[in-house]
Amino acid sequence: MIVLDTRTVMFAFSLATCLLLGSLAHIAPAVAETSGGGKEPNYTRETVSYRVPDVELIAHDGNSVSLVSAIGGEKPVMVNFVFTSCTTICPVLSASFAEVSRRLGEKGDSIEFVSISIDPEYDTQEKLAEYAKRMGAGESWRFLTGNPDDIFKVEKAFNTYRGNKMNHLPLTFIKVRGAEEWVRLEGFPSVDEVLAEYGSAKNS
Amino acid sequence: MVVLALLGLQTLILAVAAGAEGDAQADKVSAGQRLYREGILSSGEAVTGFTHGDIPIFASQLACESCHRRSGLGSSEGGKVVPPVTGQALFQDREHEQQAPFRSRSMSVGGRPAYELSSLADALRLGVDSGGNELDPLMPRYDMSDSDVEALYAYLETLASELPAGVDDSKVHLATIAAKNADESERESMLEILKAFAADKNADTRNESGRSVRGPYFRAYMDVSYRKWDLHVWELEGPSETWFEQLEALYEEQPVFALVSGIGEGSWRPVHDFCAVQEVPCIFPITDRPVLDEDFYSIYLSGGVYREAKAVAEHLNDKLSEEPALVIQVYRAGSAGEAMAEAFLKAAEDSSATIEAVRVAGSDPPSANFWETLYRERGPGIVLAWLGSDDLENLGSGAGLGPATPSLVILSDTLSGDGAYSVTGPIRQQVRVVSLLELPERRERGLLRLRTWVKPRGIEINHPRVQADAFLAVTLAGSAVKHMRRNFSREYMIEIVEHGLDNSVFRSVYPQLTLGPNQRLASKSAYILRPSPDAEDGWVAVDAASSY
Repeated sequence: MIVLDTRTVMFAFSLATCLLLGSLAHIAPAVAETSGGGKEPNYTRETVSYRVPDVELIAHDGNSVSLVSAIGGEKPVMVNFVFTSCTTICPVLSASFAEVSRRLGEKGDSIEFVSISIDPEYDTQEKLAEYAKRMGAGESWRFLTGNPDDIFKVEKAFNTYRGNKMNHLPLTFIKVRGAEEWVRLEGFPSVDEVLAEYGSAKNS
Repeated sequence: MVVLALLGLQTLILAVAAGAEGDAQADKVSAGQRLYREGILSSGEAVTGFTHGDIPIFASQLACESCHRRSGLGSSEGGKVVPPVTGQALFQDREHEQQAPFRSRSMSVGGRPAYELSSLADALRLGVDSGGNELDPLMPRYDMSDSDVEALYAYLETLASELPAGVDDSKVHLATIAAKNADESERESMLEILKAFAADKNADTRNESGRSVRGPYFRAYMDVSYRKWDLHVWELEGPSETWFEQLEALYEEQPVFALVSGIGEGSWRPVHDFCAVQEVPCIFPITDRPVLDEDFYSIYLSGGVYREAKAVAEHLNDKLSEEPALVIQVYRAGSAGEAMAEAFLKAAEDSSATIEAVRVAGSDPPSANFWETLYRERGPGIVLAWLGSDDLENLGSGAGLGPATPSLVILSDTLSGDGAYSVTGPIRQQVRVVSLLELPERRERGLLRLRTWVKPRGIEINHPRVQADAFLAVTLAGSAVKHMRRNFSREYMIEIVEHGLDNSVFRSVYPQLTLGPNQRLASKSAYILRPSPDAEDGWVAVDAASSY
């Protein structure tokens, strides 16, 4: 009897969850179309305003960097959040940046790439330099670390903070020249999809 | 059990196979291991492929081990679940783990037939599993030759293929190190915590097994994997340089699955090496001289005197390079203080400062005269007193030193403990303490959970730091063993500790504890403290905590 009860409750709960999720889908941000046609999309897109915190960070080349001047100005920029000991999500995000930056660089685009460490205590400048090399980063791609409190502010500002770093989400942020808003991609868009998002943001 | 018996049989058959064939198989396995761990193909080239359709990747970015981890048992990160790829997981049919109504939102993966060489090749190259289903686009589609797939197949077969030594049908054998050269009272305090935890855990095990048999849903998720803990106390004799052989002998007599906590005087190097050689996890020993080379098997709470020395060198950096500074390191030969002095010399090797050493002789604490002479003869330099608490007894004497007053006297929390904060007299305002622990006024708060835990167990808190560290080590080890379920793998245990530490509510006496994949030092920050100008006996941080 108890077994049956539990089962019924569990089923009802699962049903309720499905219904809830279903209804949420209608108000969720527009789901980007994917190249797969009919397949589950690999990412979602939102356009959001962020206030870039006024903090000084350290780049992998040892230079001190004002975050506002690095990503808060007019310049086109792509930003992601990674950590060097991350095993699953960051390697893919980094591989994506490597290829996107290579392709845009070939076209002579002046967009810059910034990866911000969410594990600043471990990710020293040396660790980031090593990681940049391992990921095949070119000239236009900088890795930033800093004081844990400052990094926390940045994560909060971009709504990426998820407590334990192992819970972090795959996010790519794009800002085109002169734009007020960021395009926030959550998930794993392909290189073509990132380039398409960048292209359509430029033309809008 | 049937599976294990079959695997045992298979091992036996492999063992009696012809020598040449055995060699060829061993070559395949080692080529497969290299591919799995480093992404290097048998050609010597780095493996390449694509993830998420068109994102090109190469070995140093995404070798198998990156996501599936060294254990092969997989991982989860940011909602992405990476399935296990051990021989047992791949080369058997897999039923869907969940009942139908729960499948859609479950983290488990669907059913499929056992992999064979050709279907493994399809999975690796085309991203199609043995049941014809498309794998998650995160899984790279690799460019791999037939022989590379064969090598990988051979290696995966060996991954987590049998119960590791130290685990049998009813018990998990664990050990802790209680070296005879450690302070006896501290050693007993540590053991009391570990034994109480093990006793609790074993009392619980009875209920866990019962639940797994009776619970309506429990069975579907959990296997009957519970084992009692057998905690062995390894009492090591003599100086730490002689421990390696003793450990090998103890291990031969009773192999253990992991070492938990542990205490002893001297360099931890012999234990570290033993753990690396025998591939035994060493979880959070209590040592002031850890080994910071990031070997896979040893995880430390803090960097001990090495981390402190580095923090002091960083703190003094400006002073050392701007002025013709004189630094005097005071320590006893052969002590942890000497190790700290050496580490400081190395950390400050680029500075132009004159760094001198004064070794304390005899068994008595340095006298008031010792300190006064030191101050007067050397002038107003920076004194780094890397000594134990008792040796600091007369440090504060020397009233009216005038211009000979040292500009700074730096003490180590690791070496002197509370003694570092109790220096009195006019020298006190010159004292700075380097500490890897939480700020003094917040430490008690960190111990609350421990105090609550020991109270009903009738354990006195005599050595809060030792007991808190032991409690943290054994709690995390306990949670890791539980989370492994049936997957008794030493590598997996370490991966769970890496992953789980950040979620631990208890953090002993440290400001922050975090680990990540392959990180081996949990507390990375260090404070330089000075006497508070407002409060009579308070201490405040000079700067924000410095990072690793």
